[in-house]
Amino acid sequence: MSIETVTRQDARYNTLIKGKNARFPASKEDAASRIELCDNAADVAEALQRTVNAGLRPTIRSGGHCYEDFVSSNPGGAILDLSMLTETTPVPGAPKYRIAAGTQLGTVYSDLYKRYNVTLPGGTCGSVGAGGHISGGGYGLLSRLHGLTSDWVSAVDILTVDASGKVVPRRVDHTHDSDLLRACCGAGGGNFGVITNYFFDELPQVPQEVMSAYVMFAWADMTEERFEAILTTYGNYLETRGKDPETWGMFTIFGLTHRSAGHFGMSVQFCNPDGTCRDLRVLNEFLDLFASCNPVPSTPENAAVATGKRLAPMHHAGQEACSGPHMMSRHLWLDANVRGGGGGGGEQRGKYKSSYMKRNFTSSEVACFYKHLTRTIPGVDLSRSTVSVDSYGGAINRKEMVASTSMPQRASVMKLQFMTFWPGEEDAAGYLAWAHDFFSELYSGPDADPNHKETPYPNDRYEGCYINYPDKDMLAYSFWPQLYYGDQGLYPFLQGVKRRYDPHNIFHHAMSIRP
Amino acid sequence: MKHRTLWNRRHFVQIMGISSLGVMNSHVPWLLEASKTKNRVTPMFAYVGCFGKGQGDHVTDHSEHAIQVFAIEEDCWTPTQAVASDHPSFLTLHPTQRFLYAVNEVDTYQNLPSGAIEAYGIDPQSGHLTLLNRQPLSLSGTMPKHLAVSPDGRKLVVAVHGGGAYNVLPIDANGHLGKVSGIVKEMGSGPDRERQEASHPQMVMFDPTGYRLLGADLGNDRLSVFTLAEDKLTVSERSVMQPGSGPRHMALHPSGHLLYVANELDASVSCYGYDATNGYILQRLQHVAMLLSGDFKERGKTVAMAMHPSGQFLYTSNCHRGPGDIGTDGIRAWRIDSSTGALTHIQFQSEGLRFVHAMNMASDGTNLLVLSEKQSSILRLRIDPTSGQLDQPVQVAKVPSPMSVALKYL
Repeated sequence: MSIETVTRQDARYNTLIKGKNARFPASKEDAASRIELCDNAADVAEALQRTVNAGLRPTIRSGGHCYEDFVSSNPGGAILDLSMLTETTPVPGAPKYRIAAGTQLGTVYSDLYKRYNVTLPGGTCGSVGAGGHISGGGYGLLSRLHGLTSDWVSAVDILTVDASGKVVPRRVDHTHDSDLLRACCGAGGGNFGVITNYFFDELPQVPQEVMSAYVMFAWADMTEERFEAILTTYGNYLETRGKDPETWGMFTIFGLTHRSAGHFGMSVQFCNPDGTCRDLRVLNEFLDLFASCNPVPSTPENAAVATGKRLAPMHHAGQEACSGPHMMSRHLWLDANVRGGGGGGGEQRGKYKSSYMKRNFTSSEVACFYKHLTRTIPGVDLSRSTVSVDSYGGAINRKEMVASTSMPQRASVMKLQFMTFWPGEEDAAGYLAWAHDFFSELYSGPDADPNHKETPYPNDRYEGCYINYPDKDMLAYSFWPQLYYGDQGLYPFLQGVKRRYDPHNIFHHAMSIRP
Repeated sequence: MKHRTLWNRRHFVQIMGISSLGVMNSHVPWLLEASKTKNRVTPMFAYVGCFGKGQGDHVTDHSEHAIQVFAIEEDCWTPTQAVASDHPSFLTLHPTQRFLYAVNEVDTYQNLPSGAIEAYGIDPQSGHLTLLNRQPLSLSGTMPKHLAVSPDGRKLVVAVHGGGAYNVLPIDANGHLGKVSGIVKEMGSGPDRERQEASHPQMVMFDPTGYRLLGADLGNDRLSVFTLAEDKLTVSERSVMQPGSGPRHMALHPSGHLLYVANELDASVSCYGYDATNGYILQRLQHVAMLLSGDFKERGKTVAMAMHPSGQFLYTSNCHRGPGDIGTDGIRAWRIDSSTGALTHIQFQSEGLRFVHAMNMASDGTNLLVLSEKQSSILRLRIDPTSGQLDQPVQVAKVPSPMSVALKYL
């Protein structure tokens, strides 16, 4: 098939002009003038060359899950849509495993499992595209066991645009343009070129099975003291016992959802480091920690609330619950991880923020969480507002990966994702303000760096923010690049890569690497 | 250099004819009409974009940069208002002269990498400015250098140095700027690694059709012809120049068939044929190097150019600082052969002229206004109508780091 170009006159335009976050494009003026639907890498090269020749700005979409407007806000420009580049078959002469940039994670897991019995330690949302996910350092339920997706990349097919405006196809690896390869492993999408394929020499083996469990709490009788006990129990575990390699097969998503939702709680996936579920002592030990915190039985409804719908509740789906002190269920790995759902839909509007934490929560931080999670704002329904506190660390924190990737955060034990959703464009202000106020106050406390107030600037407690959860509010701080890329030299390196491979800054968005 | 703080009647009459748009004014019918009408050529107000604190009774704040308003009465320029404006390096008036537009030559606006454009309303009595609105340029469109308003007053086109782009912004009936409606992102580079690593548009101007524009790109040694339609800009013609020349300034001969280009980097001036009917840049007819010495690096830089409205003379400014900051900069006057485009050197005027950043030609050709950034002054040089020779410079205003001037006549 040749390139399918969708312009304003096309009936598909209004559908294809948007990604998954209905906030963007914010206005008709901000919208791209065309969407170039590509079938293969040659199509992408042709569409890119055409776009550059016409003096238009290209933005790139694979899964369409960008949290900010980096793709959809492209006034009069062209969106290069790679969502039909979904091949996972090998390429002669390339590293063993290939994932085309438009492949959705659900398909990635399924295909890699069926073809090779391997997987990528990627995210939980099956409809996220590989293109942005991996280039931004994607992580997921197996990341404590196997590291980040970007840690496994061996080579990348990428189209860059040279000084004369000519599209240059490159296969970059550890010996060819290795600086660009490193930049593609964590700096985030839309910075240097159009990635069409990822290659991997090796990938981790798939666990045979996993355990799934929930720990739920009701807001109705919650006290601030008990709330603090729950959070600090969780944080303490990850800061201490969670560093033990035998726990790395456990991944937790702790959804601190606003009081108006009724419940908050965590979802746990577990396997032993060998990919079996023969020994459940680590899981039971973890679940035991919360026994005194008055958890309530999980239901499909409260489990969905707790994870912010990032995971579909598993052990309510008809599987047999395991016996033992805690409610848990056993699943084949593929069943547990290829569910196709999760993540933002095309109709909702959302705002996201993120932070990395190296240490357990302090009392002051807990108080701030409690305040904003129990706060009421007239006319603002915060029942879908959550801070998802994910377990982190383990294999992610291999220090040697700092130099070979562009993911500098290798000392954290928790990764936080602030999320709030609202239905209509006119409702945005209250939700945006809630998220902004919460985040700013949280990182203005006694633990924050006094020179970088309102942000989790890297210090002995924090490690900045995650570029795949981008937050344009951070642009208000001159040091925003250091929030995402650290202050140990990675950002200047990325700027050098930018100047070398994208001399015209063709690939840019609000938070792209500045030339 | 002679400084005169008071003008006599004769000097005042001479300065009255100075236009607001320099080399571009000959293509803006409104101003041509104004200049042709004897009782309307008196400039009433001057607007100077300066990289320094403003002065006057109505200084809105003491920002580092300002648009300085002068009331022109009889023989002096009186500062009356200073409006805070971030790096207002180029100003131009709307054809109706009711509005003023300024580029903000900055690399960040509202925390994003872009420059901005400001629209001001002008009080017809006091000449004072009121900010109407400010619009960001396209993302990555930083450090805008120059802009041009369409003769119908409905569009504004910006040459964006930093992002290597041209932007179009609509103008409504009240002078407000709409969001950027058209973007052309340019490619290409040149041999000068420091200045030509990427496209860097320096100037845009409308040709006599009023819907076609010429753009000069210092970064890729290229001139382009654009067509403006329905708020969009499309490239209709490219012309590649001498590698490393660095085109910065353009001027069309009044006949419309000769296009002069001042090349900053190799300190030269080129003349091309121009087919105004079809919008084609034709072959290069002339090329003159502004040699100051045998060494290429000692040539200095050609930064500004002004066409005499008679079409008989061309003026080019040359900046050069030698060892010990001894300057060899100044303005050269040239006679134009309008049939061949050939330039014959008339004069090199350097006395009292240092760091000439911009020049504006009087629409009646009687004077040349010169902005000296580092001398913080605006100077006027009388032009002999027969020989084209420049007289000694006279200081008409003292302004910190003036970058651009626009004069309101109506």
